Formats: sequence, C-alpha cells, structure tokens
Amino acid sequence: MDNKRIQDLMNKAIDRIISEDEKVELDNYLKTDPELKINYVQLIKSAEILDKLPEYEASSNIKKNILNSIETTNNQAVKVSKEKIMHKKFSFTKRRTVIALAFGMVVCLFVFVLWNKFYNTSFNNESVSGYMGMSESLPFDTREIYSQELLGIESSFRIYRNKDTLYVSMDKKTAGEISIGYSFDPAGISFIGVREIISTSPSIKTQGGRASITLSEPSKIFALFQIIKPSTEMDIQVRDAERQVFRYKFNVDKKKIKL
Amino acid sequence: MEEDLELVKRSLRNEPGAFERLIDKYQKPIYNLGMRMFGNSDDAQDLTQNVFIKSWERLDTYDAKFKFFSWIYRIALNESINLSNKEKRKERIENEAEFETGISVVKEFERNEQSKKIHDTLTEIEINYRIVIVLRHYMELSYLEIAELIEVPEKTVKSRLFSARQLLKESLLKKGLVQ
Repeated sequence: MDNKRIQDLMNKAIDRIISEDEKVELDNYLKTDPELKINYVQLIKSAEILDKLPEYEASSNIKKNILNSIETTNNQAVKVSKEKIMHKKFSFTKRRTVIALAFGMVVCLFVFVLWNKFYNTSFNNESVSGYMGMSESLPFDTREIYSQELLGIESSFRIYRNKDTLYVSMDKKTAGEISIGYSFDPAGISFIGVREIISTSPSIKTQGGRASITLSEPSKIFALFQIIKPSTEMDIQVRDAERQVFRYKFNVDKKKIKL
Repeated sequence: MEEDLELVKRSLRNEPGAFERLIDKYQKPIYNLGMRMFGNSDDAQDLTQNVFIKSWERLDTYDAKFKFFSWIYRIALNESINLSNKEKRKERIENEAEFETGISVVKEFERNEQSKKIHDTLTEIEINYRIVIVLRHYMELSYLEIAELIEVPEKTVKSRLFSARQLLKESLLKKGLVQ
C-alpha cells in the first residue's frame, strides 16, 4: 500500500477533485482496510464541519479605518518629504556658506602672502647667519627695507620701518670693536635709543643730527629712530678699529640705498 | 485581473477611489481569512486593516506578472504569522475567555456555539498547518496556487494538507464534534 498515493487520493476526494478512476482506486484501498475507511470517513466529516462556518461580512469601519490610516500615512509622507527638501535646502545653503568662507580664507591668505612678498620681505629675506630672533622682536607689521651681509666683519646689517619708526639692526658675531655712525637731519629724524637683544653694554653717543654706537663684543642690537618728516635722508657708516667698512645713505621713504 | 492591474496603476497615480475599489473587492476575503485564522473579529479586523495599509505602502513593488490576489494574500499570510506571534493576541484571547463566562456572547460567530468550537479547533492547530487548511478550504486555492503563495513545492502542500486534516480531525474528535 502506497501511503503517499492514498493520502493524495483522500485529499482529492475531500476537495471533490477526484476523477472516476481515482475514486475506484481509493474505494479499493478502503475496502481492504477498515481502519483506513474509518479515518477517511472522519476526515470527510471534519471537512464538512469546516463548511459550517459562515461567511462573514467585514465591518464598514474597517474600510473607514484603512482610508484614514492611508491618509495619515500620506500626510506624514508629505511632511517627511517636505522636511527632507528643507533639510536638503538647508544643507545646500550651509554647504555654499562653508565653500564661500573657505574661498574667502584662501583669497585672504593669497593676498597676505603677496603683500608679505612685496612689502614685508623680512619673512623671506631672513638670514640664517645669526639673524634669527631679531625680526621677531619687532612689531608684527614691520617691513624690512634693506639687508646686507658685512662679510669683512662677519656681521649682518638691516633696516626696518614700521610707520614712523625706523629700526636699524646690527648683528655682530665677532669680537673686535666696530662703531656705527648715523647722520641725519635732526628736523626730519630723531634718535630714540637702542634696543639690545644680545649686547654687552654698547657705547652710545648722540649729538644733534648725529648718533654713534660702539660694539666691542658679539652683539645684536636695534637703533631706533623716529621719522618726523617724510623723504628725510640718513647716512650710516660702519667702521672697525682701523677703517670705514661700509657706508650707506638712503631716503627713509624710498627703498633705494645710496652707497 | 486586468481590472486589478488598472486599479493598482490608478492607485499609484493617487486617483481618488481607485484603492478604495481594491479594498471593496478584497476586504471580505481577507477579513474571512482573518476569521478562519484567528477565530475572532478583533484580530480579523486588525489583520484586514494591516494588510491593506501595507499593500498601500508597498504598492509600487507589486509585480504585474503575478496575480494581485496572490500578492495581497501573501501579505495577509505574513501578517497572520506576525499577528499570531504577538503577545497582545494571547492576552486578548485570555480576556475574552473570562468575558464569555459572565456575559452573553455578542459577536457574530460567538452566537453559534458550534461555530465557536470550530474556530477554537482551527486556532489550536499550528499556524503552518492552519494556513494550508484555510487557503484550500475557505479560499479555495488549488494546490499549485497554495504552493506558489507559501513558496513550497506542490507535493509539500499535499502532504502538509493531509497532516493538517488529520490534526483537525483528532481535535474535532476530542471535542465530540466528529463521531
């Protein structure tokens, strides 16, 4: 006896889709097995009992509830969609602002670098030969207008200007006495004093339109002058114990240095 | 079939009344599926509502090469399984059991004691067996349609259906509904 086949035939009989041949086949099985027949009859009765369940009508509230829920869902979807659009707009605006700010900063940096390159060469021309640490002691917006390495006495000489103040620096690395003489029109320039970065008490003399500073040890100093009148000239001489080493003459309003 | 597809398309275009017509057409079979599966009108109503709301939400995923009723029945079956697993339903059944002891039964199926016993018997059967009985007996789907719907081979449907009928018969015998 093929159980699967019998089950198949019983299913078909219960579902009323059994063919005539299959019905004969099933009857033959049932005739030979009383227990199988009892089971079959009970299965048929069980299926008939299921038919006794009535068909139900759905409450009219169901449709109303469904449509209400859908409407709410749609409204929420629209709201979410609007919020997404607002969020996108906000993000776009925010992104544009950030880009604009970044661009502005880049432009500012570029302008600053250009300005520094042409008007404040101290950043670029800073010498490594012992001058480090001098320009940092000056105000931030001070510009260097001249620099010269004095190889004969192993010194560096530089001139800076910040508004009406002139800074004339000397970085002297060797022992041996040198003197720096400054000549100027006292009506146009006034000697302020000396700022010592590294110094062993320089000797300073001033008289009218003249000032002189004598350095005997390795030193780093600034001589400070106030510019009273524009286009004033200054003459600077650097001498060692025996001779004049260098002489510079320049107009405070011009970069050009006259020898 | 053609009409269902047209209603789906119109619903997707948010045309007024289109989805409502699909509800009109399928709410009764879905509700009856719920009644057979759970034996009470509250769960059947929950099921029906959930099925149509989910159908609406997923309508753009409906593949027109399948029958719409298969698609919505599949949602209904998944939802039935979800619902049958919910603690809430168990609590509700317990509450109803207590309720019925003191107050006359008011709901439609509960007016008939025999119907209630049949419902109770059905709901006692494990859900996978209950599904094949309901789909075959009440939804009148073919073995092949059931197989496609619950995504198992046709021969599995046949053997599961036979086992389900045996379980039902045993339970009805115990309750004295079958001699």
